[in-house]
Amino acid sequence: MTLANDKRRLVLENAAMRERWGDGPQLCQDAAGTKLWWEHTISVEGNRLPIKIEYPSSYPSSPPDIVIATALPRNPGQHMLGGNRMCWIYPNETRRNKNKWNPSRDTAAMCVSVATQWFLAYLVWDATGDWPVPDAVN
Amino acid sequence: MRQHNQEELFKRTCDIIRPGLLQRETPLIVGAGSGGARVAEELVRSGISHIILADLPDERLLEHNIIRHPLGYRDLGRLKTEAVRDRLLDINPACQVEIHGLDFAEDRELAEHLLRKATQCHSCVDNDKARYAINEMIVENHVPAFFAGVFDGGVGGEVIRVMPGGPCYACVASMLNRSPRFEQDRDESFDYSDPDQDQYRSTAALNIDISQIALVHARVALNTLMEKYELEGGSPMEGNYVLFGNRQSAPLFPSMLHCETWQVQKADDCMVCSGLNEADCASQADEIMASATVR
Repeated sequence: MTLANDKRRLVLENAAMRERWGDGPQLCQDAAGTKLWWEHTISVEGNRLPIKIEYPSSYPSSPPDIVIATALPRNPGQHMLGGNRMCWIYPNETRRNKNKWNPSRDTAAMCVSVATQWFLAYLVWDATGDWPVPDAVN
Repeated sequence: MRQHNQEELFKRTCDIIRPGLLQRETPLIVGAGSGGARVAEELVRSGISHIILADLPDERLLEHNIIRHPLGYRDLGRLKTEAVRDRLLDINPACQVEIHGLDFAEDRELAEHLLRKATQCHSCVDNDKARYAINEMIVENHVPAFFAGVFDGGVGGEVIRVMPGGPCYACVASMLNRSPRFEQDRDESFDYSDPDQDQYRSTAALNIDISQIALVHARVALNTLMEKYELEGGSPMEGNYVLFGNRQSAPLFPSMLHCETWQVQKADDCMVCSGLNEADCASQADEIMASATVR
């Protein structure tokens, strides 16, 4: 079942996004009406970054992908994955972390906060050469 | 098929569970690894006569699996589902064992089809993506389910029972992720590694550690059936979460074989099992889709 067919979840996702971020994020769909994503521009200290928050086919068992919708001045290496996706979650994590993705409470609205933190880290790295968030232990 | 005698086979257990009593039960075991294979075996030994086994397509028994799996070198390289099926038939040749190769998180159509045939679902997978996919489907299809996990190092593990209408796996996981009891096992950073990796890390644990938790898992499932059929000894389980320590490991397990049962409450705002129902939000969802920009 895709999110477009999961009416209950779609209503909850939309409500969470509107409650947290108002009318800023824009919900988009493909022509077939099967793929859904949000488009939004985040802003950190005057710097703007357009992003897409895409729902994978296995959503909400899997978290959304956060895609950077513009070319960055510098490539942040391991912090950006294929398809310009932000690296923000470690799916092989087996420990009980508070911040693990959990479909009972997490929605795409959370990804706007995550993207803002990621962009802030990117700006610090661009200025200092240090990524200010620790990598997960593999 | 070799000669066998069902009456003789269950001679030593028939006073506890009468052979044939569980014939309407069809457990679905998702994951034919070291945990799932043992749970399947225990259920068949207890009188289950129809079972569905599912694992990833092309999931084969490798040499490093052998030391922690009921199967051995004889089955090296075989599909785990096929080899476990043969193992179950070797225990009870009259058992019907259906096997399927699929990714439960991705192949939802087949997964739901299997779930609709099942009377119990057993999550014996090693990753949250599959657990959450199973959770969504069992909630939607009102199938009782059991989720088990072995903690890193094999110090212990957990078994979660999800009954229709009760708290779901995500409710329980959400509570546990916030529990101070698991504080030592936490890392507050939210970044990073390579989500493109397709291999999940297998928990470091001894065979005896995994077997112990698989036995607790099978025990909880069997007790649920004994409750259902009102069998003597099938006492109501006081809770939906079993925490079991194989070894001492503070603060979780103050001593070896430490066991606790908790009742985790349903989260009122759980987006998987509480709140809105499908019919109530159909028109609202249609409005949302109509307002979405087409690209």
